[in-house]
Amino acid sequence: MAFSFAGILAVVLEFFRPFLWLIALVVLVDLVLLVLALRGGNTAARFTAARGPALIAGLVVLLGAVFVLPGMTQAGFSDLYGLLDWGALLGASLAAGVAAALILLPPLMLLRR
Amino acid sequence: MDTTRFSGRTQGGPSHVLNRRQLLGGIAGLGAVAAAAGHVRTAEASAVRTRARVVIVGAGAAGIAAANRLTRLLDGASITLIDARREHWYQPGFTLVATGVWPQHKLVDDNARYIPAGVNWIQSMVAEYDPDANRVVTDDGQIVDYDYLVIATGLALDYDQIEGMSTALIGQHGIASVYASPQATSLSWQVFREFAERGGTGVFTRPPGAIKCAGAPVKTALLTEHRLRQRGGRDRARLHYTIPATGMFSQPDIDRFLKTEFPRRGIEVEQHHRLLRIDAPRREATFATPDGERTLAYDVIHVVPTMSAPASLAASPLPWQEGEHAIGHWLEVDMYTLQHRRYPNIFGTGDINGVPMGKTAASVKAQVPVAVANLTAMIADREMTMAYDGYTSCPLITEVGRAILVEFDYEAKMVPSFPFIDPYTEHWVPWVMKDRFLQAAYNAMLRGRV
Repeated sequence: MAFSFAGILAVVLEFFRPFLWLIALVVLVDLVLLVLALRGGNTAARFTAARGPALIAGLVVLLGAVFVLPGMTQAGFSDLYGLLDWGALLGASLAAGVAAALILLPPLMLLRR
Repeated sequence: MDTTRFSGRTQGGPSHVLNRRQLLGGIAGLGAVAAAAGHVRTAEASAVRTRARVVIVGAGAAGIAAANRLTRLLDGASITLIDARREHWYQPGFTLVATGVWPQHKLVDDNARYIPAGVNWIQSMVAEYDPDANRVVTDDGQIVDYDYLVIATGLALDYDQIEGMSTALIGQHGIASVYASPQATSLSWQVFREFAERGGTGVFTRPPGAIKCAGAPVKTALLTEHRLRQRGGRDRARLHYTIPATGMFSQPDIDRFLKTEFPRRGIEVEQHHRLLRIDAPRREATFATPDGERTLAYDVIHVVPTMSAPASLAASPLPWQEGEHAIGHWLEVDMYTLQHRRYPNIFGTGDINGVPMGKTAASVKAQVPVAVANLTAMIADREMTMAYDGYTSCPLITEVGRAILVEFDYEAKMVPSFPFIDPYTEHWVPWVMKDRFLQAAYNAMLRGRV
């Protein structure tokens, strides 16, 4: 039974519904920090300086997620089988890493002068 | 199908080597998902203007989903929902609580959160159906007239058909049952947890006739066997899985898989066993078999009751009058349109329907849009075009951490929603879906969004 695109979005909304306030708060804080960083001038230099640490943090989260995610579902690596499972694990870990890097980028830009 | 297509995975874990075929299959699967996602529902069908009185009986998954959809599809209609229960139970999670994966609180929600504004919710139970007069009567004496009726009552659990059994015994004398309620499910885990540590004789029953979530008895047995291995009681345990005839699962490929998997894991399948009575204090269960009665002593027994239509519906003119669905007094609907075969202004959805397949939450997801669309078409004096194909689904959990996503239709043909998930192989991803995502999909279904 195929899900429509709208249906998939509805499921995603339901999945995140309990944490929507937290996600909104993080996005809001990040946006404020980003605006402050952009207003502080020297944007290119700030971005260049913050990019490396953000990427490193994202990479750490990615690697951590690879090891932690199966256990968070009460599973172990022996339960993963084939491209589907390993691809899903790597994809979810990559998403977590990218999210971490993006969240950290604005405060790091603000800190780098 | 050759059962060797099933994963062939052993308890030691799978091979992690990816071959070129798997890689290409995965890429093709991702493409198919993108294609599926392309089926964007461009707009809700424009609402039908009507002053019709629509009554929905039952505020379970099917009733609430129907209420949400009808609210959007009918403009000006009077929609009434009748059900006394305020709690909403997430029943697909019952096996997860009974096997110690989830805490009990994840099963209980509030119906009021999902019932749309504008729907008149009568918090009573229907005691009497009078389809010739187009009315129902509630247990507190209210007479509710309707132009159209949607029956989504769910079903009754007939524990009293087993001599010596009652729901009050669940959690005592080694008796477990995942069907009765969230609390009974949690008590069942206490029974199974003790068994997983001590071992002994475990008996897992399956009754004759149609039951909801027919995979639950299988999953409970498999997960208990896994818990025994995890907690050290496996060497001291003997497991029996009793079935009333010879089949273990209605989908033949999965049936063959289970008939291999259970013996491989040391679970003895006892065919032609129907549970007659339980002597709880003595921990003995007696079965009807072709050779006469057989009594099994147990340390733990998982009791699955026979199931049937609620008494008020069974006593009405609405159930099947003959044939296989008459036995459980199931609602006499056309298996494709879900319209009542003798009362055309009545539609059925969910567990109550007397159709060859479909007593799962996944079936509700497939049935509700069909029943609602056909009812709406009837109100608008249009031809009914939607048909239910028998879709049902079971994330067949084989161990904590892995499952097979089984989806099939009336023809028992596999109809996977996600082409990249092989319905013949144990994977972690279906387990994650069951553990983390299906409740979100269920809630979206309640809101009439999927």
